Amino acid sequence: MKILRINMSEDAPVVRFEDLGEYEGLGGRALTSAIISREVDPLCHPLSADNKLVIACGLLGGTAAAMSGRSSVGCKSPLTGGIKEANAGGQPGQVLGRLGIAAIVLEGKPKGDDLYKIYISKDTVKIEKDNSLRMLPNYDLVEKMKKDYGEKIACISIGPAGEMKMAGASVAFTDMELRPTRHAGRGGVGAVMGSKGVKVIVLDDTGTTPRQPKNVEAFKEANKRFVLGLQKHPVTGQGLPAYGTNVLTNIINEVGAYPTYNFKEGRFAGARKISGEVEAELEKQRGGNPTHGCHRGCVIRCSGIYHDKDGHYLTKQPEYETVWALGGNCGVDDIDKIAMMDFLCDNYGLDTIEMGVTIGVLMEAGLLKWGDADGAINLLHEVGKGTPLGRIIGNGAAFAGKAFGVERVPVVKGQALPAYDPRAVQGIGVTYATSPMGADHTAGYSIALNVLKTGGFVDPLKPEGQVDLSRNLQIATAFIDSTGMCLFIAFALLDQPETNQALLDMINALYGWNMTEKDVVEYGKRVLKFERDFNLRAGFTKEHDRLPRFFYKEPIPPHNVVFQVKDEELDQLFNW
Amino acid sequence: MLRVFIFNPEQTLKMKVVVKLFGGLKSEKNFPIREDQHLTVELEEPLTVSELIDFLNLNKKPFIVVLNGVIVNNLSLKIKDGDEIALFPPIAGGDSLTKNIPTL
Repeated sequence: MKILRINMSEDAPVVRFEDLGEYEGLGGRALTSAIISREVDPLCHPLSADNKLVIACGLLGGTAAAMSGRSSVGCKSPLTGGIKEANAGGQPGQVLGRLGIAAIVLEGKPKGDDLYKIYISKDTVKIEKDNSLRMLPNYDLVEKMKKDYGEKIACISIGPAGEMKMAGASVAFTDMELRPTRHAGRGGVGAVMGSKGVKVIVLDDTGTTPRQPKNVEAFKEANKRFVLGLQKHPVTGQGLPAYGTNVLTNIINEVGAYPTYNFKEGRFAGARKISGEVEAELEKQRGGNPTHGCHRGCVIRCSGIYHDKDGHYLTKQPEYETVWALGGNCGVDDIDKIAMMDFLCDNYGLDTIEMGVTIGVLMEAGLLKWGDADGAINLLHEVGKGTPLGRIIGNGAAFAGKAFGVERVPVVKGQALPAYDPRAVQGIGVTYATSPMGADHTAGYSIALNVLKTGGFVDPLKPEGQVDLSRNLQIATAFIDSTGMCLFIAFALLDQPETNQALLDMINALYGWNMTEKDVVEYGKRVLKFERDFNLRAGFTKEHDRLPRFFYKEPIPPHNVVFQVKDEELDQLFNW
Repeated sequence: MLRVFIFNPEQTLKMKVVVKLFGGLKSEKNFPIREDQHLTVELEEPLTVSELIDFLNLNKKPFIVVLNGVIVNNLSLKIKDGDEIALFPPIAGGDSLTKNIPTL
């Protein structure tokens, strides 16, 4: 596996392949965070030539391992000012691995404002100026790439939001149908790609084969055990395939942790109408599909295909966090309009969580009424067009909150809080506060134990035990994010030691390693250390590891609780 | 003849409970369905959570039990009049109630 470095500073961008060298043994998030931490000046402007954009497949990328299609996108974040790893499904992760590329590193910055497309196949890396792509939304862009390069490609691209270098801009990854539906959403990674002048990276794995493990038979056998483990577990074998991630709407709402009206209440009266159960039923009725993988080799198949009232494709099945952000958080209970907003965010290249929270903040400011779905849709169009209001929204909740003088802005390190209230689920509050990524539920998904009773149970309403819980999960997640595995395997891993072992056996068979569970912990800690270290050098202090104060002062109904984990306890999270 | 009426709330009080079924859970009995699609269940006698689940005669065994917004692990808790109980099948969670936080 090689690192492909592309320096965009020169008139003709310079391409060079390098051995992994000091990065040997690292993949996915470990690789992106190591490169950013070692090579990027933490004090640089995120949109400057000194920042780098790293796109990496995981340790298992390009192999026959099930679930190994995730890609990591790393940089210094224009949203948080700290290190960022945003993670996406879709096809490109597998294709990168098959091409023998562990990571693409975009460096430097073009002098002019030309746009570039990069085509990578088995034998070539071709970089061309193509200003005809300017301001193309992601769907139109991918259609154009299909015409130019055929159907056997995978694309990594930015929409207009990325070109306009908005801090809420995502990087899109195409799915199995070659649609730009999977996004490295968080932290404005799309803006950094835009600052490098790169509109799209087209990957073509024609003539390649899956990566060969050192021990072929052991790998095959471990993969089989791994798949059986996922199929056996109720979450990965039944719940996620049947209803997708949006199965969470009813559960989180019932436990009073569903942030409603910009985190004012913990329950939404319209939750049932936008739940996974209703979404799946509509998809079946309209000829969509509620059980669909986002990349080849996925056996959980939590994604889906959402059709409009006339039975035409509208978007992929909107995820729970999207439905919450643009739905319940804004008082919107119309699933078709939420699906339309999901499509618009994918098309313009925007983080759905950041956009939903920003619109909630603007509803609080009185710019539009709670529940005004059409108003919210119009605001997303403003972002896509790049009007002055659109640019305020596209830069996220913290930026828009300042512009409109709103006090209650739910962000940590400048990044919007996702779909679980930290007062009603205190463990996730610890993760939001302390993750080097800013408020990020995936960084240490305490919901698994606080609510879903996977791997045990820790009372969500009490502060006790939450720091230990979040720490353990953040360490384990940093490792999983490095393997290229979908994070949802964690449900089975937490409950079934034999599935955990199957994953380790697969990695060991691929590389000829003897990794144990103890090594997994050390690996995860190492990744977090790269990230913490970068943030410290970028000027972050323990005061940045806090929730906004209103979470400590405003009790949230129905439980009427505030966030109770003490600051001193939060400061112990990385003390291991 | 003087009849003495002894009020025993445990025997005489009819209780109404709201039951919310999610994730494909269905009751085989015909309880009245409210406008919000939830069930109104009348109980002749106080039941525990576990007894209520048996009484509902569900198509699948529920796994996550939420009583008035609080996740319940003790199924021998008594249901009170006016309680709301939400039941989810094990689609959204594992089966390891007794396990502790994973030691990594």
